[in-house]
This record gives sequence, C-alpha cells and structure tokens, in this order.
Amino acid sequence: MSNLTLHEGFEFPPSRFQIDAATVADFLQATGETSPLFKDSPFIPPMAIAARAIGSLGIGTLVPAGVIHVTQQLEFLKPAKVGSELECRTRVERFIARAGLTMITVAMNVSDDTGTKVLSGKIGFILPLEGKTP
Amino acid sequence: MTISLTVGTPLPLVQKTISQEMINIYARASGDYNPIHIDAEFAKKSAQGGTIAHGMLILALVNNMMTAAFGKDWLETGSLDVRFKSAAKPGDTVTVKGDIKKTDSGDNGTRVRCMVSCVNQNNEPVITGDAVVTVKTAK
Repeated sequence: MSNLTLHEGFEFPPSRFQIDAATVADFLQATGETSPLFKDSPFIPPMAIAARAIGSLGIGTLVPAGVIHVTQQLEFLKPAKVGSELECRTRVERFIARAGLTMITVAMNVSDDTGTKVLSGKIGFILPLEGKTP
Repeated sequence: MTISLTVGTPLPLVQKTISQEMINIYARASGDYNPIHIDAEFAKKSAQGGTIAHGMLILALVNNMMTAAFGKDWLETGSLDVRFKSAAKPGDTVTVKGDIKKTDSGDNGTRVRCMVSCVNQNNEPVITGDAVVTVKTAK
C-alpha cells in the first residue's frame, strides 16, 4: 500500500484474530509483567490486545522506509477471554501532509465475538511522503 | 489496590533494561515484524543506526506500573494518552514513573488522573502522558 492510498476516512480491511495462551505468555515475558492478576487468568491482558491490534495493521511493514509511532491513546472497556475471536476495525481519522512528512491518526476499535467493544484507541503515525526518506 | 488516592502519591517505579530478545518476543506476540525492530542489517542503515524497541513495548511497561498500582480497576477501566518522545534501543535501561495528579469522586468510584513518564538511562524522555483509572468503591 502506498501512503497516497491512505486518506481521511480510509478504512483498513477489518482484521480478525485470536490471542491464545502461548501468545499471552510471550507478551508477559517480553514486557516483564509479573502481576498475579495474569497468573492462570482466563482473560487476555488488555495491552496484549492493543499490541496485536496495532500489529495487525501492518503499517510498519507496508511503509518500511521510516514509519514513526508518535502518539497513542487507549481505553480498556471490557475483558476478553483467551482464545476468543476478536475483530479490529481501523479508520484513518486525520491525514495531514506537509514539509515532506505525512501525519496520520488512525482510530481503532476492537470487539469480541458478541460485537461488544473491548478496547478502543487512536494511533498517531508520521510517514515519509512517497519517495522520501526521513 | 494498595496505594493512597491522594494527589502527589507516587506510583510504583518500574525499571527494565531492554534487550533484543525482549523485542523479538514482543514482535511474535504482537505480529509487528517491522524490520526496524528485528532486522539488525536493515536497522543499521536507518536514521536510528540500529534496532529500536516497539513503542508499544515500552508503553506496556507503563501499563505494568498502572497494573501494580490499581490492579483490576486498571485492567477494566484504564485509559492512556501518551506521546512517544524518543526510541528505546537494546541495552537502554528505561525507568517508568508516575504520580497522582487529580482525583474526583463519583457514583462509580474515584476517577484518578495520573501523570506517567518513561525516561532512559540518560534521563531523556521516551514517553510522556496521562493515565486515567476509575477506582471502584468497595461494597
């Protein structure tokens, strides 16, 4: 995908994913999280959902020449169970191109298999304009 | 939840030295395999001069602090609004700090606004921002 494909209102294809116990274990290990709240918990740590949801956008690999993650808002709304089917819907909320850079804000909503929102957020990125390297 | 809900109360400090192994495991957990995080050869040619941690990995350390301070209330009602100021690299030691800035009592509990920040070993800011949690009233 080119930067130029992105515009205000652009909706990324919805991504559906499951977070299994092994992925939760990886997340806890990588982040050094040792809270007893996560020991044998049936619920996914909300930050693991956010991580997977943002990873599923694939923005970094679509624009490998220098995407920079500059801001992040997150709101935890409801616990989601390990192994449940989650869906992430993302939409470009702001798109500003100036001075050789593109600033993009993407709104993200993650729902569980009942359609209930479990997490929402906004991600701010800076991308190089087409053909430019930051 | 064990901390006092008083303005100025510090949150439990979190400190971590970032390793490439942590970054690689985080890439697997998140599905974010951007080469700037995991490909040393690619990253060497970038402006950063080497691999950097995912911003969300460092933000997860802020989350660890909030979980330690507010437990289940954080996991069920928490929100974060942060700015990534600089990247953390393998070998950097990041320290996450925070304190309570404001409290408001309501029907559902006490809404607590915290200042959160993360700095590297040179005291350079990595993340700055706010976190808000509703601490439910015990029934």
